[in-house]
Amino acid sequence: MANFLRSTAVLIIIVSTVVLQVLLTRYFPRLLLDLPLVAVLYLTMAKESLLWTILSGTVVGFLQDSLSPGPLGLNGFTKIAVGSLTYMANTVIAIDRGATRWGLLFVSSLLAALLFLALRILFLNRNETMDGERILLSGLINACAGLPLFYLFEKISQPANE
Amino acid sequence: MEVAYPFLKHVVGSVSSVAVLWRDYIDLRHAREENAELKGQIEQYRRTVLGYEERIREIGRLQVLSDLEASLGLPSVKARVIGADPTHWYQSRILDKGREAGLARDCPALSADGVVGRIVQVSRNSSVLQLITDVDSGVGVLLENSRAQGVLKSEAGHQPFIEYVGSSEEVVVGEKVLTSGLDQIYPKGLLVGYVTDSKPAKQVFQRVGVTLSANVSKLEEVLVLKKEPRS
Repeated sequence: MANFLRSTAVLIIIVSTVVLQVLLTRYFPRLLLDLPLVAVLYLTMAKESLLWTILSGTVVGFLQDSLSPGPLGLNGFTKIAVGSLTYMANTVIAIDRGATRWGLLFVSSLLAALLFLALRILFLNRNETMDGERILLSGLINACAGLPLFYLFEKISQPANE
Repeated sequence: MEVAYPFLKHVVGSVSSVAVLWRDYIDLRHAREENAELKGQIEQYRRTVLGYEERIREIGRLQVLSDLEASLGLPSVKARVIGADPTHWYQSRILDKGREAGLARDCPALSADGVVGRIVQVSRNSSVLQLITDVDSGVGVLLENSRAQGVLKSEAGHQPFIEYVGSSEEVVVGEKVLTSGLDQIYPKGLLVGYVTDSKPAKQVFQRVGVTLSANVSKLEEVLVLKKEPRS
């Protein structure tokens, strides 16, 4: 029962990050924060299971793509790939410290942005102009917002007695 | 009597002073409660007035769209923006109308100031509007005076521009940019924006900078033109 409740809480986190992102960008169109990516990275680090990474990346990516003009699968693939890399990094580096988590979030955000652009160039034949400043800023925002969000996610998904 | 008078006078005076004080205290307590209640009511009225003001503004905007609808004379649907793109890679908005309201893929959307985009995804009760500022968007346009034709494109973080305008075409700053109708999505003659500058581009073309007439970043309601059934 406890496991079921925790899994439900995790699913709610995933869906609510996409909903929240849609609402936030409605009022702040230039927002560079990628809440769904932060949620996937949190699950990857917290659950320490590749299955959760693939599952959350697929759900989040599918939800994002279905609400975007882009083709289905692009965001899902990006999130699964970056989540898997983070999972591998997680097995090598201890990510208990805030600074390590911050660094991992920052690098993962940069990788996600670069992979997304690469996929668009390779599969959609787009002439992308890489806005390095925007990508760096997005990475910084995701990393800075990610730490308090991780704490919040932990509070939501873990029972009070733990 | 004479002996008791000053004593009585002081006692009665003191008692009446205490009574006045007590009454004032009770009044003050009531006044405080009343004050808190009135403050609450004022706050409530203020919120109601703000709600009404917002509603009046919305009605004003919808009225402008209704006027536009009437002037165009084309079947259309008014839709409200309920969300934006959940990634920061695309420029799109989520609308509260979908297939049930008669919307379909490639339906053009306008605001009171001009063209804003087209529908790219439709579900039963919502749809995704791709803005003309999206990197994947392209609008067939022509310049009002020179009648030079081209394609309006956008790049992330940059001003929209027109591609494929011949370098020999005379482009005037401030000239109106209208839809050409050649993309078979946007009807011909709708206002898109104004020419801001022009510079030589690759081969025999020039790149014409455009400032959009509609503020697409602050969209709240749009008018979506329904697609006419093909015969």
